[in-house]
Amino acid sequence: MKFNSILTSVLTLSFIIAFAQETTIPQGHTNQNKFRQLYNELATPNAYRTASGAPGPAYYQQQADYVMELTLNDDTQELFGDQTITYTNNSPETLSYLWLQLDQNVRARDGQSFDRLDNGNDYYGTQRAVGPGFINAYILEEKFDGGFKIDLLQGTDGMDLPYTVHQTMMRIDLPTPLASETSISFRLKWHYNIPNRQFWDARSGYEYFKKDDNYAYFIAQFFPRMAVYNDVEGWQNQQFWGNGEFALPFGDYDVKITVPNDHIVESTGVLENRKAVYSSTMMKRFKEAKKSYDAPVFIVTQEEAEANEKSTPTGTKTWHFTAKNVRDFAFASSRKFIVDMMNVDVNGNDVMAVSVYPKEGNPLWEQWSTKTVASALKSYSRMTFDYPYHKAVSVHADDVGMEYPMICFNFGRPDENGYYSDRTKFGMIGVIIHEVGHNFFPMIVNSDERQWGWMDEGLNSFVQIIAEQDFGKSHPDAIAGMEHYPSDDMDPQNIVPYMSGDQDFIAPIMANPENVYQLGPNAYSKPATALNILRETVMGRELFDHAFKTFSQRWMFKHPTPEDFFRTMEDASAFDLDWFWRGWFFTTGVVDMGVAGVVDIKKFDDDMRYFSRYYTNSLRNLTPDDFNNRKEPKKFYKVTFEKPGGIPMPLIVEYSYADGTKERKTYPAQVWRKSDREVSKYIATDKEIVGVLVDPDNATADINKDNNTWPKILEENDFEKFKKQQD
Amino acid sequence: MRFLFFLCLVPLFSASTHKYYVSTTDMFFKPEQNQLQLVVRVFTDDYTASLSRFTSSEIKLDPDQLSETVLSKHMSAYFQQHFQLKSSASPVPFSFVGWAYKQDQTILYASFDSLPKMTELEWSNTFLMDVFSDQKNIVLLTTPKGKKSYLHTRDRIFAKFSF
Repeated sequence: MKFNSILTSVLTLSFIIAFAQETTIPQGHTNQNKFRQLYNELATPNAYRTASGAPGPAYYQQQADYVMELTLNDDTQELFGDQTITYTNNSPETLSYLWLQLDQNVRARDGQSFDRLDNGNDYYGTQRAVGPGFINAYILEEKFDGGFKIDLLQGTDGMDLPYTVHQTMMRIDLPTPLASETSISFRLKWHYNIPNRQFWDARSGYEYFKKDDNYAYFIAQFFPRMAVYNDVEGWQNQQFWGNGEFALPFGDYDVKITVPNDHIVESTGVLENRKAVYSSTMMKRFKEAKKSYDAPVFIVTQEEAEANEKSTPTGTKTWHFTAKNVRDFAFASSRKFIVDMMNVDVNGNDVMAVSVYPKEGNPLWEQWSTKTVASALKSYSRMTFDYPYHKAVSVHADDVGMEYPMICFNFGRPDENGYYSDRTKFGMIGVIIHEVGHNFFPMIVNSDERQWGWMDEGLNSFVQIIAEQDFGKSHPDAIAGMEHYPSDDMDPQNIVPYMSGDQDFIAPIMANPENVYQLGPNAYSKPATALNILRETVMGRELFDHAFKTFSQRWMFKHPTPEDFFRTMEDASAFDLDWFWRGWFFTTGVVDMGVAGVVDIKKFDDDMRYFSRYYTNSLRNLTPDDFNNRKEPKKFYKVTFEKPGGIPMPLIVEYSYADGTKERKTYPAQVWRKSDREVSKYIATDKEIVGVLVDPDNATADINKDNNTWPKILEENDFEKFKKQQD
Repeated sequence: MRFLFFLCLVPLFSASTHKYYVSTTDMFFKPEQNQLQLVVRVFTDDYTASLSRFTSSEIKLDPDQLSETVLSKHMSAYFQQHFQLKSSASPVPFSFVGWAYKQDQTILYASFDSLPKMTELEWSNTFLMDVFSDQKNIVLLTTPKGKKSYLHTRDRIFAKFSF
């Protein structure tokens, strides 16, 4: 007995142990469903920003007004400024210090912006990896002394204010803290050496034209300006390293710019003393331009500009500009400039489209710049809100595309013989549309560019597609020979190489622009393509456009965050989009859907029970008459679709039948909600299915088309297609 | 002087452009045809610079300044120099099929034919690395078994695929 019970225990125990080793204890998991809401990823709604994506009842924003007197020295390439800042604290808090941005300090002799670069891996930085130290020591004859020199910082009482500079940020420690709903004014005097734009690859600076020994100045980031203080970041004082752009508060500007008296200036703002700075000829032409809605009118012709290149100034002139409710200020000045203008009717409001360019921009610039500005204004206004400013200026500067309120600097230069390729032409038209578009995002829908590059670049690049298509339709001679304007981000297939590339070098869209690889596709093309797909394929134009306009109008002249955009798009459309934002914006997943198999289950008994069960259940409820008159489908297919890619998308299918007909069906993305990898559809039909094609229009950025057809068609790859063409 | 040349090639760094030093190559291994098909996508500006340096002359592309025959010869030589297939036997026959332009990119088409029997595929990709030290070349290899991606840098010019 004892021996038996021991044996039994031993055997039982070994069995238990063996069994335990073969089975694993379930570990459980949190909700990983791709359709779960973004509660964990998005900031909690609050009184500043509501759950519907709108400014809340406690929403506030600060204001920074500037009165400035500037002097541009054309002999030494220096800019001097004397400015008064009036900062209004609309927050409920008391501020004991203020932060200002000193962007020129990115080129200070002791600047660290180059030290941060990983020369092996940093795409943008490495070409300038040498840095100011290297350039100063080995290339330049004289060391370039960049950065602001602060000559004076005083309160209105004439007392010096204590301040600390940490690279590109300056902290002013207020003797008396700034209470809520109060303002403070203080005065700054400063000067800095204007950098050679191309040499330093800077967004602003001068271009020196050797042939005629003249300078053209493209001045921006030129003054110490307030950083943003808000409910999301506190002070947005993240350093300016170069890739992350700008976060700026709104305010009113009053700026007097003193330049050589033979210079032509264009700037942000209304020109208050046009009669004092324009010749009588220019005034006459300006009045003509205001009456011209179809063709640009020259204010300064190329002939006159070329003659002016040879002039020597006999003194200075002061150009006085004022601007209300802008977030930044920039201007261009040169004796080389040609100027043309045209009036534009934007939904009943007159807006002047202006182009400013040296002769090196011709013949391309006089042909297309102003017309492009006009077209862009109309397209963007249609998608968001009427352009609220009185003018939009496009200035030609080589190798740059950069935006400021009412003025932008754009590339697009023919060669010395005036010849330009299609690539140069479309590059120019595209960049002008893009930079003018930036007036809307972020100049007016004022997002934090330093933290979220995509919020202005991606949204802007998306509307750019629509504006470019409009331009092609209204200016067919510009796209002569093409079906439509060649918009990069319009074809979802163009983003496939980036999205399907090495994951080590892809970052999600929801990442800080300073830290991502391949900034171009990350912040521009991928979000633009995603939004275009959302509009064309997921939501449809009507629902999308209404929601997009709602977002733009809710946040014009305010500071939105990504949450506000994501929430508004859903809130105004009744379209659950969390799965879309999660897949496209928060992950680096890809789209890959296909058809795994097609089975006629009336033939096979395996699934026959499904057929009989559904069928007989429905039959049970029929009246005898209906039962006798019933039709039985000749075929009952089970079509199985697979989704190897991470991002769920609407499943667009084209069924081909034996009689030659085709039928299209779009299953919403929710078809994947319970089964992320594979779903099946039962199709009752009288026609024989001979083909199934997933994503027939290449509308979803599917990275692998090999699994998109049934029966499997081995599609020709790009090499084979090209070779076929050649033979 | 060399450094100034370098700096002149500084790309468009701005709020609106999409420049980055990456090339993408699609490599299709076709055992039935004994062929390795290549489709290389490079930025035209970068490729022009590298090709100019390779030929020690100023090359202008899109529009092309030289004749198709001359350019084809240059491009073929460049390709063979910068994309090499390791083979124990004699060099594998190479054909340069042609090129095309798409927006700001140049697409090059070439193939290695009559492939010898091999247990593994090993190649080097140094496209544009002579001009850009931080150039990254991505290769996406498609074989009958599936796809695999590789990244070439100046420190890692070779890659291998075992059957």
